Amino acid sequence: VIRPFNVEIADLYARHAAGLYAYARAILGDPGRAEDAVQEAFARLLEQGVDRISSVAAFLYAVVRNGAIDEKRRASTRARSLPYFAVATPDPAERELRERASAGLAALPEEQREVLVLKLYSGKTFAEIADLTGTSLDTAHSRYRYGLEKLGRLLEGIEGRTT
Amino acid sequence: MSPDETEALLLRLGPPAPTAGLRARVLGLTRRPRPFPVLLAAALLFGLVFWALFRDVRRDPAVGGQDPSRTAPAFALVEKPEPWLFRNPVWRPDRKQVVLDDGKGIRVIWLKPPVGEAPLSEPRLTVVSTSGYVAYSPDSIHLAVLDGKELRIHESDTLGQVYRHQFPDQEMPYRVRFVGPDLLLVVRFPDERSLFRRVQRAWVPEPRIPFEGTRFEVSPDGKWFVHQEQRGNFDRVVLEVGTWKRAANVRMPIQVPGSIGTHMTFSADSKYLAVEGSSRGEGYPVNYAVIETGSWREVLRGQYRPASGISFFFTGDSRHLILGAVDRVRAVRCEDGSEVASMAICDDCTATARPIGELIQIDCLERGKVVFRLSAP
Repeated sequence: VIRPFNVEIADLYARHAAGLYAYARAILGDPGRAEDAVQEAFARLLEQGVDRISSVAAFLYAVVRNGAIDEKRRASTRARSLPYFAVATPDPAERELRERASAGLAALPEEQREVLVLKLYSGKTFAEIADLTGTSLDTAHSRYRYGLEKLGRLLEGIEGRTT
Repeated sequence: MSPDETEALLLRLGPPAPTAGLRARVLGLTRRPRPFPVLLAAALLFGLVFWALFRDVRRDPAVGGQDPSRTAPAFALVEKPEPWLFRNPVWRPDRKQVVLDDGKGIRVIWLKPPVGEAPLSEPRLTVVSTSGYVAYSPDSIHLAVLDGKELRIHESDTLGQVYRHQFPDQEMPYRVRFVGPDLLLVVRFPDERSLFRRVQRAWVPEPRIPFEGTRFEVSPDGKWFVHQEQRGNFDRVVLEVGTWKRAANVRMPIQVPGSIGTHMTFSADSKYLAVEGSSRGEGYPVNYAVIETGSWREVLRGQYRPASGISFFFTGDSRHLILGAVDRVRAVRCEDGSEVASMAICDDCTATARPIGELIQIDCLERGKVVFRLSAP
């Protein structure tokens, strides 16, 4: 079979794009700019050459992180932030839950939000998170725990609607 | 709300998903804008096809007692279409159709009319998918299209759909190919695991067969499946398709798993399997061996310094192995390992190469897509 696409990039996209996008959204808030950050990461990967990079996943996440933080700093005045969780649902209770969860996540300190998203949505281990964020393993653990505790407090009153 | 409950809630809500446009943008990173319309692309492709069909009547430089090594370059340039005008044509085995990706869709181009229809005045185009991978069955009857999560089988004469399968979310269909007249292999990559399964001509899926890693090849005659183990010595394990019994273990030392120095490829007649060993990176010496299938006897062993972008493959006549080295692309005779031809490649050239029948196509970012004919005897 001759492959019409760059199979390596298509495969890497299938493996990492969702996690990268979830991460970029957590930093930037804006869906369009989050997608730009992910695209930029793959562009950098192509520039560098996949064969020359020992850990493609670590490279992609590092580029997204650096790019997203720079972009957020640069565009803070014109930044828009949409709810992290989609609220397009006909169920009013579910909509309220999603709105509050989005607001709660946005209210977390950035370093805690980052660890939560990397762990839960990007499938990263604490060791990988520590490497990526330049912290110790213990710090990554504690940020995750503090993040869950704080978000839990922000979401008080919606017990029973979590399943 | 306890941390466990919060964690459960976040998992239930799930992450936001990127739009489909992002995938197109990322995959489009490998492309350049094409200034010409599709029909012009088709016309050029038609010219290439015409040349491919009638090349035998062209004058051979060796005719007339001239020594081709004196009169012709080792690799003769036979065609130079516009860069990236069409990508990776997939031919129907009877050469009545070719499928190409023009950046906007996967198009089937009719080069000869279906049976019973009048001759075509110009190539006829039909879009079968917006993206994906395609493969023809060896008897030209069916065309498989893998489009994202969906696998479709079309009858290639009518392009009517005869089978459709939607893969579950957690599974990523990766490659599709026919092996033999009745089999279709679909390979999938959930996380780091790989699965493939056989789908019979009646389009009844058989049980899935797991294998390690992401590197595999299937011999063109459909008899052998080889994959690289992901532990120990990174042996290449050959399985007999159908019985799935281990037929051979090919041991070539691989120090570091990677994408350089780890190629495996079968010759077009399935007589040979060539493998590389050792993977320290671009420019480091790599061992290679040519092994006769069936007897699994090593017929050739050598060493070269591979470039990252150039593939490792046999010529269409199965007589030569093409080695993409950092300085030159070389053709080595399988019989005795002698170098019969070579061609310099440009600096910083990121290229892939593949055989098209008896031709060799090299996609070079600097020079565009060029097609060569191996002119050595």
